[in-house]
Amino acid sequence: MADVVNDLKTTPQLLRTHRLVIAPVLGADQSLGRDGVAILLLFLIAATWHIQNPLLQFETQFGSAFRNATLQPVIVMLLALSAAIWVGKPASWRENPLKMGGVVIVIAYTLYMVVAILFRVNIVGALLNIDAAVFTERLTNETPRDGLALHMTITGIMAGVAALTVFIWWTPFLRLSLYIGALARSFAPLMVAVLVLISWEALIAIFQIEAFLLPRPSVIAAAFIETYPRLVSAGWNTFQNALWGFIFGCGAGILTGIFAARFTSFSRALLPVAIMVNAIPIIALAPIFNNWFGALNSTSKIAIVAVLAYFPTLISTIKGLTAVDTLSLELMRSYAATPLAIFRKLRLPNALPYIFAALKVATTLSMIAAIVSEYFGGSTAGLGYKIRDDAGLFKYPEAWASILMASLFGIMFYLAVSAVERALMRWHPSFREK
Amino acid sequence: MTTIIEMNHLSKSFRTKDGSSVHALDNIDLDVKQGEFISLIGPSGCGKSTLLRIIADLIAPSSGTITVNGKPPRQARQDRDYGFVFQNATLYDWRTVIKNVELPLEIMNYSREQRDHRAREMLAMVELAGFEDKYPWQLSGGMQQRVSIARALAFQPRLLLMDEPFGALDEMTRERMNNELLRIWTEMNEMSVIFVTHSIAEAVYLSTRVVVLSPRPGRIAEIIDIDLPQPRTPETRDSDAYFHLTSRVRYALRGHMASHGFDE
Repeated sequence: MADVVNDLKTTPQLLRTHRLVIAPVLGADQSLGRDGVAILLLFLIAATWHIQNPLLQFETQFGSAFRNATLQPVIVMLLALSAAIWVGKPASWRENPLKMGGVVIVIAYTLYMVVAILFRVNIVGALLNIDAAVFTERLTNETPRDGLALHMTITGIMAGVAALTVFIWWTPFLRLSLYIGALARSFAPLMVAVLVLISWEALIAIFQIEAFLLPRPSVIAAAFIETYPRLVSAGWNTFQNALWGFIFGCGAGILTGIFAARFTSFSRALLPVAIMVNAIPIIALAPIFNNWFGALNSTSKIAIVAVLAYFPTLISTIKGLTAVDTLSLELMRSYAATPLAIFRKLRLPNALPYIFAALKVATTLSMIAAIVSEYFGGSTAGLGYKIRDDAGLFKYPEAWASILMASLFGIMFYLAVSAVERALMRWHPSFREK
Repeated sequence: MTTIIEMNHLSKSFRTKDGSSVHALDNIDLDVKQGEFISLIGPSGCGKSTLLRIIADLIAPSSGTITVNGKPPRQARQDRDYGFVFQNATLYDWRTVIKNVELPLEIMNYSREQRDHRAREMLAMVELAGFEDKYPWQLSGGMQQRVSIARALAFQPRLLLMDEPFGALDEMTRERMNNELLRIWTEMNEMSVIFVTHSIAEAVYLSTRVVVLSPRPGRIAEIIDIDLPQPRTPETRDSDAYFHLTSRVRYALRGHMASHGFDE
């Protein structure tokens, strides 16, 4: 205790506040997970503010990135999810009025945006006597710009207060040593990435490679920054096909895997066939799927994604459910456990690492399948179509920018599945804290 | 004292992968009484673990009869008459210590309060109070095996089957675990223990009777009554009677190993 008091005497006021008020509530959180949640939350607060204001949505570049009608509800739901994670367990803030205040502010902003964007009930707009239809339509000459500007300021203050709250509780300025440590750990891969980009840029200049063969990274970056609102929208359309295909394919894979593992003879017959089919380049069937399900709708795309994601998930599920330690099984037998209890308490937890390994592979496969399937015709709103179209028109920097956006969606998909894995398998060796 | 296990002419043969048959146990006759601590000792491959697994109905005998608590072993297993402790702790990695101890109670449909109460009681008994929320990998080998004993005793079986539970532990830890086990056995009034080991010292120190098995096919070579006074303490290991009994067990083992050579 004396150490703590001594320590406090010599630390600056800011640090003292942090140690006395904030740290006891948040705990000595040394992981970067909290930084991830805080950054995501700040981003989503800004995004919802832009979605909510037509002046921003239609007249700023950042706002127009969220013009896609199916993307908006997802952004709000993500806001609610990350706010819930940020707020954490009630036990952590019930005792502390400061944290309590922060929680109330963030929850209030989140609820306001859920009501406004998900249910189209605009409270501030109604108070300012602005017609609700104005918020969902494009700007015209009749649009009450003054009213919208006032609305933008009011909601902007709300968003600002929420963002400031998140920022204060995040205290990134007190976590600098953590970031420096993380940077130092990932120094080598970062250097490799930087070196690759520099030599890419340099080699093109030195050997005077034509831009249509391979554009410079700086040119691709410029094209990306210039067109990212369209890329987000196109990427989102393609990602939806990938996601639904992933859900159907992996869902079916897990269910058939569970069924097959229940009947040993069935899984013995099925497994070699599944492994064989998995070795077939199924993506080559994309044009045939277009023929079966119709090239113009997204069903054919979702179907090919689902088939591609199905087999690795099926194989891993069967393996995970059957590769159970003999002694663990004998233990269950000694308790005269029912097959259902053995499944729930032994086989399923045992299979989780296998299943998640497959799901992570399936995220990548799903994005590949969703993009490639668009090469064979169909919706013009997706990334695959855009890449093919831009390449056909010799707009190679744009095509590369689309590929970059596809990678970003792929990486985020992978990270999201990894996060679920981490949450469900804290016990697993790969997540053990040192 | 009531007899809880009766074995008559028990034999067991295995068919190996190459089609030949291995005679693991031959003509075992053994009765176990309530409250006894029986050690099964013998060279590796003598079928002592097989015998334990037959009692537990994890495998079936080839011939002969066996009853556990007057019932066929299958019925005894379904009535959850015994707790089993394996050679390695066999804790489930995804469960915390307390959840591992609660596992049998969950399967046997105890209420949440009962489970929590029993598990805490058992963990206190094996002196692991305070470790409830740790994961198995955070514990040492000896602590893991103590969790596994707590788990086996959580539903208060009258019979405890232990298959070389301390075989993987170092000598110091093993002696400490022996004392723990004796204390638990005394606390769990009238509980019977069948303990498979290949440590002579351990068998003599713990048991009321030591059953010496001969190798392939496993036969009962000798049954030695251990009449050392109860309760046993670390000083017991220094007594003349203890030395005498360990020698007897050693001779019983050696007699049968000599005729087969030391090929194990």
